[in-house]
Amino acid sequence: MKAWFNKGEHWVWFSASAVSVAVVLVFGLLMLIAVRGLSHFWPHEVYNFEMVSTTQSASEVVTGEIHNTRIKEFDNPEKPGYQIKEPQLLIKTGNRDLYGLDFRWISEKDVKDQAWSIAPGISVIERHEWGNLYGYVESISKNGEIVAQGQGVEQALTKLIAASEKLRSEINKIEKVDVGAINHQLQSLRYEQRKLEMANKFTQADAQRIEQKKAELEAQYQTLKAGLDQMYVALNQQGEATILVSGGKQVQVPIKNMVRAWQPNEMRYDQKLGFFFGSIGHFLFDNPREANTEGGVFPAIVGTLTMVVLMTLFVMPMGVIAAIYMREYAREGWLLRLVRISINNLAGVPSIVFGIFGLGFFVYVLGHSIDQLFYSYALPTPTFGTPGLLWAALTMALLTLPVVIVSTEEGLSRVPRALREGGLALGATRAEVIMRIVLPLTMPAIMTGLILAIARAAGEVAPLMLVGVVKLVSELPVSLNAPFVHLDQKFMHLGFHIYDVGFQSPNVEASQPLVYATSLLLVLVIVSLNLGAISIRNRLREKYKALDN
Amino acid sequence: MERKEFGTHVSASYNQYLEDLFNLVLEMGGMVEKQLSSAVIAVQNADVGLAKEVIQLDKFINREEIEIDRLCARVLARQQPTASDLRLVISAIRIALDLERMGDEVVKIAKLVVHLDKIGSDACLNLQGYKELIEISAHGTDMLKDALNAFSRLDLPSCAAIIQEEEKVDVIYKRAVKEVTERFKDSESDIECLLELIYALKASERITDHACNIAEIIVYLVNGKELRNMDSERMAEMLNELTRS
Amino acid sequence: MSEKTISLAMGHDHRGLSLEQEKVAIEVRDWNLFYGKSQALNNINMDLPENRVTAFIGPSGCGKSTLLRCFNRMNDLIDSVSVEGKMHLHGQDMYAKELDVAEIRRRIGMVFQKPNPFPKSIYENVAYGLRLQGVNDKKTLDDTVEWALKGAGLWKEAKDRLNDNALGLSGGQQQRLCIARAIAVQPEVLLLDEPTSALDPISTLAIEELIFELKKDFTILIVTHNMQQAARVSDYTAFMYMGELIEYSDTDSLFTNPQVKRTEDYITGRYG
Repeated sequence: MKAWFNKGEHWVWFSASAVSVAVVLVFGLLMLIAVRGLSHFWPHEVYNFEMVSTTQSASEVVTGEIHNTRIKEFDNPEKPGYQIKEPQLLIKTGNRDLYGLDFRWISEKDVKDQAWSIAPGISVIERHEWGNLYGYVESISKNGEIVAQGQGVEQALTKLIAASEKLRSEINKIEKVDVGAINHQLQSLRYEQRKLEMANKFTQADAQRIEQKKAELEAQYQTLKAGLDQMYVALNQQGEATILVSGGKQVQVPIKNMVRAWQPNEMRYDQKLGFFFGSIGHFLFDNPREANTEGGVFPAIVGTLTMVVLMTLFVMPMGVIAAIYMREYAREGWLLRLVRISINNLAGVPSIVFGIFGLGFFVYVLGHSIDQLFYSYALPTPTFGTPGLLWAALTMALLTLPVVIVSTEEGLSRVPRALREGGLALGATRAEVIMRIVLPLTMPAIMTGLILAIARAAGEVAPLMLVGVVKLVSELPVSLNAPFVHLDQKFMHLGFHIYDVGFQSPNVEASQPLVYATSLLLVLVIVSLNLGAISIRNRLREKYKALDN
Repeated sequence: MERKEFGTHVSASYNQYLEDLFNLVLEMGGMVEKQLSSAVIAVQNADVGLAKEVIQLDKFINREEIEIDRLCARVLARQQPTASDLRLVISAIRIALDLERMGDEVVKIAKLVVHLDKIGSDACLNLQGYKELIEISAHGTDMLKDALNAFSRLDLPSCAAIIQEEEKVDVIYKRAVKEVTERFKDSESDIECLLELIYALKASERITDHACNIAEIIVYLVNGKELRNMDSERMAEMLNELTRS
Repeated sequence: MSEKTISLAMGHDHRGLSLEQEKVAIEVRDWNLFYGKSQALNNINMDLPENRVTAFIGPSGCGKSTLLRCFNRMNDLIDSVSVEGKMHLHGQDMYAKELDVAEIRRRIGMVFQKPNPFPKSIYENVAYGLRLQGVNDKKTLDDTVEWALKGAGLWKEAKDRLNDNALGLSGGQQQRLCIARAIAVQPEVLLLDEPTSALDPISTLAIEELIFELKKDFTILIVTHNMQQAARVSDYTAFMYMGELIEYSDTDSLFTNPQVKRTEDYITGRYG
């Protein structure tokens, strides 16, 4: 044993165990959010639970997915001080419009024979409002006439839903893109008029021109509107389905309210798999619904990526140029040391402080000044004088600046002195040496800094809440209307989305899987951004590898 | 330049090499010196036995020269000597060469003794020039002794003395040759004897030449100056300088 | 100096080399250099002959590299360095205020101890100096690159891989590439700062042979720790000690019969 210690084996074990703890933690975390998040997309079986009558409730049949289990402890009414342990099931019953809740806990002992059975032929219908509906499709009627009934009614329903969803997305496209463009132009016209008025140059001719343009746009809008109205009528005429829900109640659900319908108990494994990926697609590319607790996270993905890319554009040149000055030009001395210390300390400042700074300086001081100078025609509606994408990106750039500076400086210091001298000895100026020799060699280090910056910025939430992130936006920060990236707009962010869904949602049980799914997505976004940067860095490193030896 | 400086290299093995080189050259010099003085005695006493010993000794001297060459090659290959070290190696090779030649010349003198004994004529012993032969050989012995001393102490003034000594020997040699040539005209004298004597005289004169060469080599070793092929005026100047140093 | 002596001096026969008879490329007068307050070079006076190889030898820290760096003003890069004295390149003051440092460095090329090719292609490495001067004509660049690589004895090995990364070359090839890069801008003087200290013996010999070839076109100054190398390649040798020029003469005399005891002790490896 003593020999074992003398050999220093215990240090090997210590360090190895530290590593394994770290590895287990990382994988445990990833597994947890992956399993919890991804199971949300899987079409779970729906069961019938036949409840026996108890003192609290009459006998009934509860239909739903098993969502969770727990062992609840009760005080034993017969033996005070003792506790009864009782297994309970969390059932997702859906039908929120009917029951008021879509989840309920039942005790296993209240289920008849403690056994439950798969509900054959049951349909789950995802709706635009009120969540899922669990029930048996009895018939489909259109304008009062029954168009499908009995055998094959589910297939007919699926077809109808697909048609209505197509219509809906067309409507959506016209409203968002075409009508949006008209609104954008109208807004520009209004601003133009305001600008001219403020400059006291608004003439009759201008008024005429603007009126004429407005009229043109109005006409365009009316045409679109007519088309839209027709589509809405068509949507309303998709008909409705009669559905028998548990408890023997029949409900009428308009088809236009349905997102999709499926029969989980009848699906084969491959169909389930297809459904699973389809759900993920919906999650990634749909807009959120029902106070973010349902639907997708597309705006949040776009918001996060846009913000990170913008931040990169700000922090890269700023950090690199600062590092070049400090390493290549500045004279070593107490002042430079002070600056270095300050930058290193900047990295340790809590992120919320950056948020405060962003709000106080960027939004209120800079933003207001910009509004006064360039957007006075839009006042009192602030343009940049309010939290928005630009300020969020700038705040994040500031937050991540130390990381970029420090790693760039490190990279610069690793470029061999001999190479600089080689360049200088050929008659190159300092700037030429830096641009042509030193910077290319520093690229891997700059990329490393950028990776760290991106990882930090994409995951940060607190400061963003102050400088531009909101829980829901109607428009994306990128669009087809010039200038394509709207720096003044507020945007959604995955991190904030998690916070919002997880903690601000009225329906905690329903939103929980979404929190995990969104977390997983955020991790994946950051990982993929990092992997991209790492692969670039590795390619550069490979190129300059021979320099290191 | 002092001899002890050759032992102050950082590399101890280098110091040892150079020390060995010095010792080998001095050892070989000692052998030639012994050979030469024995030859002088043999000539004086017409001692054939001693003369034969002298001839025998030459083999050992030749072996010694090869030994010195080998050591020099080793130093050159392993240590790449420069400056005074390089000059020492070059000097050692050249001194060894001169010593070997000296040995050969001594053998010629010894052979005279053997030859005269074979002829069996006492007449030869009383020849004019025989005395000079002894005189020159004795000078040669002294010069060699001095040269070896000068080598071991790197002593420049004695080198100058040796070079000047050689001029004196030249005078004696010329006189002796003249006398012996005179004797050729006497029909009564033994031509063969005279011829042998001329050879021996020539050999003894060569010995002093070699001793003088050694002195010149030592000058080169000590201060890198080349005395060979120097005209007499500059030589005299040089010698003055050396004597004063 | 007659034609005949020149041709003899060009060959392996060094007879007749004498500093007094040489044309001067760089003239150094009363040269002092200080790192802050400590003096690194002390009153150096020397004339560096044209189209000859002059070697600087001496123990570490003797100031030979520092002096070499004075010739292309590399010491300007160190803030604490200050210099006194005069340095003339073909009669022109190298430290004149109005002179462009880059111009001096173009006229006096330098090759460093460790091969330092840029992480670019072989071609771009050699063309770098020309591109700095604004030469972008393909033909001129091609010709110069070929000439420089031939001059550096690298053409045969490199001509089929001009676009490969220079870092893929061996150490010796890299150093020859650095020499090619330096001569591509046609400098008047070539400074070599221990150019073979990072190379194996065969590469070293190749570089030494190259130096021998190059002195037809360039004045070469070489700093080396390797005394045998100085003895092999140089025409003149300067021995420096503690920032002073102790002895400066033709290589033959210095290595067979040095006049100063310090020199003797150093080159023979004695305690001193």
